[in-house]
Amino acid sequence: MNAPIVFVEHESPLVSVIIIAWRSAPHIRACLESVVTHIHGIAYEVVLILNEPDDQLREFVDMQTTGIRTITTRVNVGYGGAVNLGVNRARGEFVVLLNDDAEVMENWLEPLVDLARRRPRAVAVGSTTLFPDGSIQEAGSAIWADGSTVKVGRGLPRDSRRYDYERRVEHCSGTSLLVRRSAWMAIGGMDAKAYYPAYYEDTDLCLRLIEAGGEVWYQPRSYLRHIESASTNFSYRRFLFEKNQAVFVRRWHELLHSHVAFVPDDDRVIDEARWRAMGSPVRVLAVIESSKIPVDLMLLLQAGGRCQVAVFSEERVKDNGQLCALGIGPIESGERLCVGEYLATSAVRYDLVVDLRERESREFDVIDTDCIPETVLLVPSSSDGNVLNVTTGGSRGNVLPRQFVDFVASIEAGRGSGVGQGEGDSAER
Amino acid sequence: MLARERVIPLNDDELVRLRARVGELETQIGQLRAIDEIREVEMQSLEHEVALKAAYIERLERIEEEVVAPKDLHIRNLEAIIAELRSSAPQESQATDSKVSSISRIAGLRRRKS
Repeated sequence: MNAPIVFVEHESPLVSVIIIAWRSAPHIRACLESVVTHIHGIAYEVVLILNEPDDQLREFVDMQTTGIRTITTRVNVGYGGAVNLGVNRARGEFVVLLNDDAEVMENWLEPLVDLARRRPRAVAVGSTTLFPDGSIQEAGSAIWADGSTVKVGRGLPRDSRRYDYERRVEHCSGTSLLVRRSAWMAIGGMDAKAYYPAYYEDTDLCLRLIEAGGEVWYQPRSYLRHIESASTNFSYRRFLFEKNQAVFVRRWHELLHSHVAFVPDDDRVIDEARWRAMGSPVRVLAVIESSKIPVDLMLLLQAGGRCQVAVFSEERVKDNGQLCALGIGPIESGERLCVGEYLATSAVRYDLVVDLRERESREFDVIDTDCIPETVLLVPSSSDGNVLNVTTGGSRGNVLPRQFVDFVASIEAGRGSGVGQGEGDSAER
Repeated sequence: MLARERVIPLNDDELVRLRARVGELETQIGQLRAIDEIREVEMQSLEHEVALKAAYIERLERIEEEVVAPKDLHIRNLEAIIAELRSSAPQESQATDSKVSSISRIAGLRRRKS
């Protein structure tokens, strides 16, 4: 006989963890045990919705758990219907949807709440979901023009740094999704009717939250393991997917027109979708020599959130969480030790490359601007780095750090019109 | 004549008891409302489930038809091909006849040359 799972009851929980257990919910014990084991220092409650439960599940909850708020429905009210019932009973400022076939890991909840508190416009925050073997299942998701979705980072090893930075996304799956309860209530929760009984309601929810003025974020430092689609058989699942994809496309067809079409196994296309979901920021690559990142300089390069900054270093970049929280991602050079080679082969099309290496290194590993004709190159032209020399399209000029935001604006303005390419001279003001 | 409202003074114990009772009743009202809400969602869900199952069955039937259809199409195609072959058979023989006749004409010319 297993020991009972005991949850501490809080008068005013900050977070309500909403878990839907359907029929027998064979993984529910492991899920609840992981929650009670890995949440520390946050007042929370668990709202468990027993959706069409069998006797075994009822007995388990009655006899082997305490401190949980349960809601029981006799018939299958669908995933969205069950979640809505749970959120209507929730008391926390934040609700976190959690699948019953998931097991949260150390540092699951805290980073989600931390991001939501640091970024007031973030109304929803998703986690890094891992397969049971430890590889990445989802590091945020992207939506294609036909309404289908892709889980970004799928199959990468857990220690991959490729998506290891906070970023805006169009949606994260409801496997583990924190939502501000006020924002949830403002849009009326999930559309349980349109997507009954399951699939696409979380995607639709995220788009409606964005439509209402909020932002959806991916938090790479929040981890959980998830057994994918453990609750339905393949043919019925496929039927539901197709049915609900059609509903989703009918509703969002105008928005989907601006999305890229799905191309299997094409990193460039996935990057394009990821970049659009972030609001199409100016893409900046900072090339450095040391493994330590000059944070002040990174903040300058972000230009108040207008630029998405990635860092290329020959050494593995050390990050105590500061870069990740700033949304700055390190590039894993892997076998490609030369930045020139990386730029020539990268799936990412950078608008701006800022080469902060010493002159010797720059001369040894030359960035060939012919390979990246649409990219502006900035290199320090003074020893203290206070003047940056601009090279673009054969033109040259200077830009002072205090002029950087204006310089970024000129790049934004020049997109798609040819202006900003060959505009290096105009940067000197 | 208007009736005067009688004010009955309550002691602290009675107040505490009444407040507790009010709290219980509010909880019960909340629970009943919750049950009502769940019932409403359950009813809607049942309707959806019926519609969904109907759509699923229709889909399965359509798939069956699609699976059967190619066989019929194949048989119809075969029949059409046979019919075409039959109708074209005389033309084929005419063609063969004319070919034969041209061959014999050439053969006759050759014989004449020789």
